[in-house]
Amino acid sequence: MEFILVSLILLPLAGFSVALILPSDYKWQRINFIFFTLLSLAAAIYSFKFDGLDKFHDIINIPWLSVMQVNFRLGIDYISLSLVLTTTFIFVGSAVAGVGKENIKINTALMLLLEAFLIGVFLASDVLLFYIFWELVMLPVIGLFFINIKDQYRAIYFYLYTIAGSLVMFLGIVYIYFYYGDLASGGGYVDWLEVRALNNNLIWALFAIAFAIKAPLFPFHGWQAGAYQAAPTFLTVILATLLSKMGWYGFYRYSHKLLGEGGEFWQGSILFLSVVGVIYGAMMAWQSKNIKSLFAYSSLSHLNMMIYGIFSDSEVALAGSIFFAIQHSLIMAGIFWIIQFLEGRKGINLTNNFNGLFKVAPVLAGFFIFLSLANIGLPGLSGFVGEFTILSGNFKFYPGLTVVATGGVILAALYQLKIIQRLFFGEVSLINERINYKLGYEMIAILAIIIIAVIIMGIYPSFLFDLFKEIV
Amino acid sequence: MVGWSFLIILIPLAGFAINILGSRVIPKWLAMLVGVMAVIIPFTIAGGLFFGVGEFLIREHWFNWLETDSWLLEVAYRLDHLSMVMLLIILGIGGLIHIYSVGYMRDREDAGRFFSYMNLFIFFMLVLVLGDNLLVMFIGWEGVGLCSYLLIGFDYHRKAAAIAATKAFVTNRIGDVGFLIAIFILLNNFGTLSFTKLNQVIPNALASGEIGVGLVSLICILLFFAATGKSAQFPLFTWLPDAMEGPTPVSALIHAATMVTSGIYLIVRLWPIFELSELAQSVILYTGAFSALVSALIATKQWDIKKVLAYSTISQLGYMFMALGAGGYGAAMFHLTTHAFFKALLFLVAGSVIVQLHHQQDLRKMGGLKLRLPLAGLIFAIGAWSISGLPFGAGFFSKDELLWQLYLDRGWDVWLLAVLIAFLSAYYTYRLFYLIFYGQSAEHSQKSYPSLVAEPAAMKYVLIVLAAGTVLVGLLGVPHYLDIFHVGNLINLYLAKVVVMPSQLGIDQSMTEILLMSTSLAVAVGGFLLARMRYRKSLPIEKDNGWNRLLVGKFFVDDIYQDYIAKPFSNLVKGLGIAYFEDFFHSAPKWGRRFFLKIGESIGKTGQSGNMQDYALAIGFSMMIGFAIVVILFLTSWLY
Repeated sequence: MEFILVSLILLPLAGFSVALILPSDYKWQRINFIFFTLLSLAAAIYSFKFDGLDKFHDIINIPWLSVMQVNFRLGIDYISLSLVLTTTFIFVGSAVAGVGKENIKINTALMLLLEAFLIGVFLASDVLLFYIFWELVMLPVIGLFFINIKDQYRAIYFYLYTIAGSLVMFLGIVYIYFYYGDLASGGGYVDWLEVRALNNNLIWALFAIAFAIKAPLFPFHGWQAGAYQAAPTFLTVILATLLSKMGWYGFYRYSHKLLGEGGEFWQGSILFLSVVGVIYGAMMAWQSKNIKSLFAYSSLSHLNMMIYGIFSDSEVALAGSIFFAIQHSLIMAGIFWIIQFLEGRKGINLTNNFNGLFKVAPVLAGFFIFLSLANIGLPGLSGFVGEFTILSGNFKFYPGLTVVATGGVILAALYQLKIIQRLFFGEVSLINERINYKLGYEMIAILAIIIIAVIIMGIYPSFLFDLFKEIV
Repeated sequence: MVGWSFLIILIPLAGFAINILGSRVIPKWLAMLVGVMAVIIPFTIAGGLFFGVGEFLIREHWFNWLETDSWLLEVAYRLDHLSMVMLLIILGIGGLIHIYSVGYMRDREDAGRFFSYMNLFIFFMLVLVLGDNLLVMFIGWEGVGLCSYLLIGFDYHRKAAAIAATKAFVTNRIGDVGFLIAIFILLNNFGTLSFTKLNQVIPNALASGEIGVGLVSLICILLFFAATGKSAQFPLFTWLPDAMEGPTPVSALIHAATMVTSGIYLIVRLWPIFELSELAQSVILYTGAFSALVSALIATKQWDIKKVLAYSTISQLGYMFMALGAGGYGAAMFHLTTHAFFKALLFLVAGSVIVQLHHQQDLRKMGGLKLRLPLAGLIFAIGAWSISGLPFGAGFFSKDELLWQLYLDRGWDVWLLAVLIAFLSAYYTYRLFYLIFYGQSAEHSQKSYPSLVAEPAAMKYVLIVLAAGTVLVGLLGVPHYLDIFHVGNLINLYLAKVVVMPSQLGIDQSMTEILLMSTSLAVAVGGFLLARMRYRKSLPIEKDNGWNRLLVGKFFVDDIYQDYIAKPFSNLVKGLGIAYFEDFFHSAPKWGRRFFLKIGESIGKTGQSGNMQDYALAIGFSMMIGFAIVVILFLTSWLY
């Protein structure tokens, strides 16, 4: 049974090797990509058979860096498995949506590598292993940037920004090492959880900065809109859905759970910053002129909402934050795949207020509008559940802040309806009329799965929510 | 029969799903048939329930939406007398409007899409009125807002429609924030959102001193704020006139008969709570009065046939809120019912006139249609008679009860204000009537419109049926002094099982009531005669004085919102984007930026050439940092 967990990491790595061996041929690379992502998805689904998922525990624990008494530990609970499942699903979608025609070989290889490392982050149960995966994730990301885009400034900015954050986290680990003598006593997640050893403001802050940059938490978002915009869209999908969740996961797993009372010192300021981020992100999204930067800021707003849920004293809000994180990944993936599809058509002029695409692309419009509504938290869809639980849970403890954060729903309507209006309303231009906007069947299938998930999670959220509630 | 009641909700949803998923394959006639049947079938079920079950309350629990230690939210629906009234209005008038739409949309390619949105609207409206708790209601509440958005913007190629749709949705969302915060307060204080429980728990908690009256007032005012969004009251009423960009059946169904009345329904549903707060009641009463007065004044100067009706709707809804503020829940529901009939009728007949005049909506270009559109004229006359409260029209009965309630609860001054509004409503309605059907000679009309578009049969028959309904609906609430057959006030008797009703009156008060009624009647007739005098013969020349400018400019509310809220806010956000923050976060600290730029340039240059060496360089660069970290790690361990 344990091998399933290892295979979650090994399968994409195998795919990576195969992609390097295969010729740079669109068809073969695509088949390879879809094949290995589907296998990982199957493995992720299968791993829900593990017992005792309502508590984080190690499945694999083998000696590794004996010199520091660090073990190679992978552990799971419902939360990490849900994130792994989301990751594998999104990579299947990415394989279907494609990674462009140029550089197909290296793109496919790097995407599979990225999948392996991302899963590693969500499974790592040892702080050092977690850190190594955290760093490794940046390798394929930056590789994809370099290969696919011309303007490198934003990419470098992004890379150095996050590396700076990681180094701060590294300092934190070094500090732990010197403070406690070794990493073993404090390295394993479960041990840590039991002793809650690290009630240390400084260590907490060092970790939190890394997470805050990755998520990002306001005001550490400077890299975000630029990187989302500059990245090739198939990579933006991953940035928006999964890399952001790394930051969220770090906050949840380490800042909230592990580092104990050190967090209380910073709690107030983080809550305040996150609420500012909710409003600020939504406002910036409204004024964005670029569709990718619009959704970058929308993500900023929503991620800050999730962080607002993590650092509350309310268990409802915390469970809501987990729920929000999972469904946000799905919705954002859907939206960015549609953007990717539109970009491939090159007929859209987003400085124009009205593109009138509804006439030529009704199916695409339907998907986009649906996902948009889920994104802004229309009741009955999944986005609402997350927002509702976070806000209602937090209202008890911080009514003032929560009222401000609730105001974000108005701004959300503003930016989301703005982009719908720009894309779909108005008269269609002559150029667009000639372009084929028909979605492929496999893309429709992927989007339909997202939509079904969004509806089920919106109407009957308790099946997931109850799982998360048990854990927190 | 009771076991089938859930079908009432699900059939419209199925209609939506069929039409939206099969939009490519289903032929137009079938799409229309599905759309209409998806409302007619639930209507028959609801009718069966109405007659088949006497003392009923259906409450069905489907599943738990969310459950935590401190609260439980269920997905459950309840059908009691109050929701039954709403149900029959929604499905009855909704069904008629669906049939009307068959005629209205007959030449449109995308009729299937139209019917699917309409069905979805009916579904959400049913969720709203059948929900057993505030959460389910909120799902319907935002859902109808969404459908309103989709239907206002139905003609997506028209920019005005797109802008109006966005305005409607955003304005409603502002109100919804009030709803959400009220929900948070209720959940955290009482742990439930169920109507039944809230209606018991809150009065008890107040009586036992657990909570103060301030909290109750806050909850009530927040909920009422949400109602001002949905029911288009001050300060959130400006979206409704713009919403007239949507197709006319939409205006009739959503923006006159059903959706805009959900605010009234919300308050009647929670009447035991609103009853507790003197302050909230006054806020509701005076906001309603203010909205009613202002919009009635604006309606007297509008030149767009649908906008007059839209302002009239705001005014009539304000009337209902006045009744609610005075504790007249039965009176408000009765007026809601009659209003649904006569306002839908007026909208539909206006739509029929608009269609026949080749989509002309400007009143100044109508006139003299009396002989050319006799049926429309007759039906409009019925609608106008009803809304103005002239004797034995539907509005006569409901307005009379409403005014009486105001007088009982608040005395002369509020009553006088309401009578003034009644005067205005008679005036603007008959102004509309005379501008369309009189005002100019038939020859003139012949010249402007040599040919009229033939009216589809579906539209014509619906108008006749609805007109008959409008004539009869007033009989549901015959006041006792006219009640010669002793049937009683049917709607009050029916609703008395759910809401509190004013007690039976003695004979001396009857005299006062008749006196008041005669006065208000005389005033309404005055409004009618004034409009007749001014508009029957020809278009009067409007004086250009300050007062007229104020009315024509709609009290400049739109402009004030635009100039003092929307624009400064948008400038602030733009400034945020361009000038300060983005630059600050992005470029600070400056030296760092320059440093990044340098590295970026050097790597960017090589990256552009795009050959394998550069990949290696890029990857190597990344690896270097990663490995450096691991090396440092090992070194530190050894050093230690």
